[in-house]
Amino acid sequence: MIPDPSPLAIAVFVVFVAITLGLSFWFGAKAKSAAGYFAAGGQIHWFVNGVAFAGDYLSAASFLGICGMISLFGYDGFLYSIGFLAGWVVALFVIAEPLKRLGKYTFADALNSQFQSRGITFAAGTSALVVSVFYLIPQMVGAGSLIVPLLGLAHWQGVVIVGTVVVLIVCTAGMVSTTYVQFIKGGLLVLFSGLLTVLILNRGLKVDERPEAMAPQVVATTPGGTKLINGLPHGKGQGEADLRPVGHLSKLPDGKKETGPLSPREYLATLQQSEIVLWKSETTSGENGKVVTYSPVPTAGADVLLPGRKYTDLRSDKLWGKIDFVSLMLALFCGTASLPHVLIRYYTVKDQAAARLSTVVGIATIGAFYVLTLFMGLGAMTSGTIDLTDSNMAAPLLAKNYGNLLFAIISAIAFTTVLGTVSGLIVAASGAVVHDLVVGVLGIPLKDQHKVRVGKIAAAIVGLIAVALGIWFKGFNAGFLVGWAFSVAASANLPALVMILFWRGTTKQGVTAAILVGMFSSLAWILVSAETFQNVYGYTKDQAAKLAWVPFSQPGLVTIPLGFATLVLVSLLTRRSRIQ
Amino acid sequence: MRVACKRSAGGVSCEAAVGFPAAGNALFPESSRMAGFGHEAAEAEVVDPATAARNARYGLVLFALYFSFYAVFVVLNAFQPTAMSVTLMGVNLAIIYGMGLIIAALVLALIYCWLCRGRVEPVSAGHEPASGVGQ
Repeated sequence: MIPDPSPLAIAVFVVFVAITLGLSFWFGAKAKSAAGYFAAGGQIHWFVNGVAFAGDYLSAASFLGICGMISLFGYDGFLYSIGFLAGWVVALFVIAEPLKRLGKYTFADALNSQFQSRGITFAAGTSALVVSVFYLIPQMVGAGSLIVPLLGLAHWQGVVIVGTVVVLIVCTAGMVSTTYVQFIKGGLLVLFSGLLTVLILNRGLKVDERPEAMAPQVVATTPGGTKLINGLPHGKGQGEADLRPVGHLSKLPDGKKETGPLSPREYLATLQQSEIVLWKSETTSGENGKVVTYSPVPTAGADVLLPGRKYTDLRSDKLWGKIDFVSLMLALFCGTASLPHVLIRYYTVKDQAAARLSTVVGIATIGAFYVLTLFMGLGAMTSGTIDLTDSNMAAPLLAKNYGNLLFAIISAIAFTTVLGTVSGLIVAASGAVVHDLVVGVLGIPLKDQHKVRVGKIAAAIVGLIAVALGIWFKGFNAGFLVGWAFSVAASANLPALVMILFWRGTTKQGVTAAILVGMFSSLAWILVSAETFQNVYGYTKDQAAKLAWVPFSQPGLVTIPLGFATLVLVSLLTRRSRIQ
Repeated sequence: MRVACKRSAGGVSCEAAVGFPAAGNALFPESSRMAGFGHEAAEAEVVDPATAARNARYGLVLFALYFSFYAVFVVLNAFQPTAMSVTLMGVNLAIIYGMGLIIAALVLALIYCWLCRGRVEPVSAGHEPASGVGQ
C-alpha cells in the first residue's frame, strides 16, 4: 500500500521523538559512571522499573506483530500474547530474587558469581549478544513498518532513522534515560491502547455490504521489477492502482446490520456468531514474473476465535505440526526470564523486594496490554484496516480509522516504544561486549570512563548490524521473528540460570557447555528448519518441507532440554575439579 | 557487604537446601570478583538466608501451580482443539482460558508478594537452627 502521510501526524510524531531525545540527553548528563550507564546505579524506584519492564517488553512484536497476527488469523495470534505473559511467571517466581542477589551488571556476572570462569563469561557474553541481535531484528522491521504510513518514507529509510536515533540515545545516556523513557512510553502505550479498545467497543460491529469489499486483489511483478495492481501500474495517480486495506464482517447474528456499542463480553460473543471475511493469498511464479492473488474467504466467527487458523496442523492429524506448536509455547514460556534486556532490569532496583514488586507491576501492566491486543486485533480484522502485504500495519491503520490525531499519537508512542526497546537491547549488548568479552575474556583492563566509551562504540556497531538485518527481514511478522529470539534465549540461558540457582552440583564447565550447546543447537535448528527455507531462503512451502533437516521448525522442545542435559552431564563429568 | 550462606558439615543450611550458591563467599572475596572491572556497584543488600529460602519455596510452589495450568492449556490446544469450542456465556473456552491465564499470572504474583512480606524471625536460643525448606 502506498502511504498517505498527514502533516498533523508528522508534527505529533516529531514532538514525541524530540521529547524522548530531550529526556535522554537530560538523564544522560547525570550518568557518568559505569554503574550509572549500565545499571542506573541500582537506584530506580520499583514502580518506575515495573512500568519500564512493560516499556521494554511491549515492543514492536507485541503491539504491531500480535495485533497484526490476530487481525489475519484470529485466535492464534492471541496465543503469542498468552505465551509472552506466562513467561513472566518464570521470571518472578524462579529467577528474580536469586538473580538480584547474585549479579551486578550483566547476566554473566550472575552466572559467574561463584566460579570466576572466563569460559562462562565468554559463553554468557556471546549468548547475550546473539540474543540481543536476534531480538533487535523484529524491532527494526516493526519500526520500518510504522514509518511507512506515518511519514510516507520507504521501509528502509524508517529502519535507518530508528537505528540513528537509538544509537544517539544509547550513546548519550545509558540505563537511566532508557528506564525513564521506557516508563513513560510503557504507561502511554497501555493507556492509549485502552482508549483505542474503548473506541472499538463503542463503535461495535457493522456489516459491510459493498460489492467492492469482496473483490479479489492481484499483485503482479514482472521480470523487470514493475509492479502491477489489478492489471494497472502501482501508484496513486490516474490510470494507476493501489492495494486497498481489507477486513470486514459479512453477517451479524439475527440478520442485524449494525450492533451499536458493546461490552467486551458482548463484543466477543457477537463476533463468535458472525461471519468474518478473511483473506487468503496464492502465489504463482512463471516466465512472466510473480503473481500474488488475494481472495476473500467468508469464515464463521466461531472458527476464527478457535486455535488452528495459522497453526493449521492443530486441526489435522499431523503430529509434527502439533509438536511444533508445543515447542513454540514452551519457548515463549521459558524465553522471557532468559532475555538479557529483561534480566539487566533487575539490577536497576535496589534490593530483592524491589525486584519482586517491580515484576508484579510489570505483570499487571503487560497483562492489561495483552488483553487489549485481542480487541485491537479483532477490531482491525473487522474495520477494513488490514494491509495484505504487511501484517505489522494492522494496529496503526486501525488507529487511523479513528482519525489522524489518534493515529499520530499511537504511532508515535509505538515508535518511541520501539526506540526504547532497541535502546535497552543495545545497552544489554554493549554491556555484554564491554564487561564480559573485552574485560572478562580478553582481560583488557579498562578505566571507568574507557569502559563507557568502549560500550558506546559497541552500541554503534550493534546498531549498524541491527539496521542491516532490519532491512533484510522486511515483511516478516514481528511477533513471529521474536519467537526465534525467545527460542535461542531459552535454550542458551535458562538451563544455566536455573541450574546454577537450584543445583549445587553445577560446575563451571557444565555452565559453559550448556550455554554454548543451547545457543548453537537452537541457532542451527532454526537455520535448517522448513520455516526458514520457506521464509528466508525463498523456497515454496513444499520445497521447504522436503529440504528441511529437522521435523518441525521451533527448536525449544529439543534444545531447552538439551541445554539442561548438557549441563548435568558435563557437571557430573567435571565434578572432581569442583571438589578440588 | 554480602552475607554468605553457611553450609555446615552437620546439616544443610536453609539456603543450601534450596540450592542457592554462596555469592561473594570466602573463596571469592569481593575484591577478586570480576577481575579487571574496577567499577563501583551499588552496595549489595544484606541477605537473610531464612527469608530467601522461604520466598524461594513459595515461588516454586506457585510456579508449579501456574505451569500446570499453562501446560494443560497448551496440550488441549495441540491435541484436543475441539474442546476449546465449548461456550460459556457466549464466549468460547479458548478465550476464557487464555484470559484466565493472563489474570491468573497477576493473581498469583500478588499472592506471592503477600506471602513474601516481612522477614522470617530468627529462631531463639535452645532451638535447632532454622533450616528452611527441605527438612
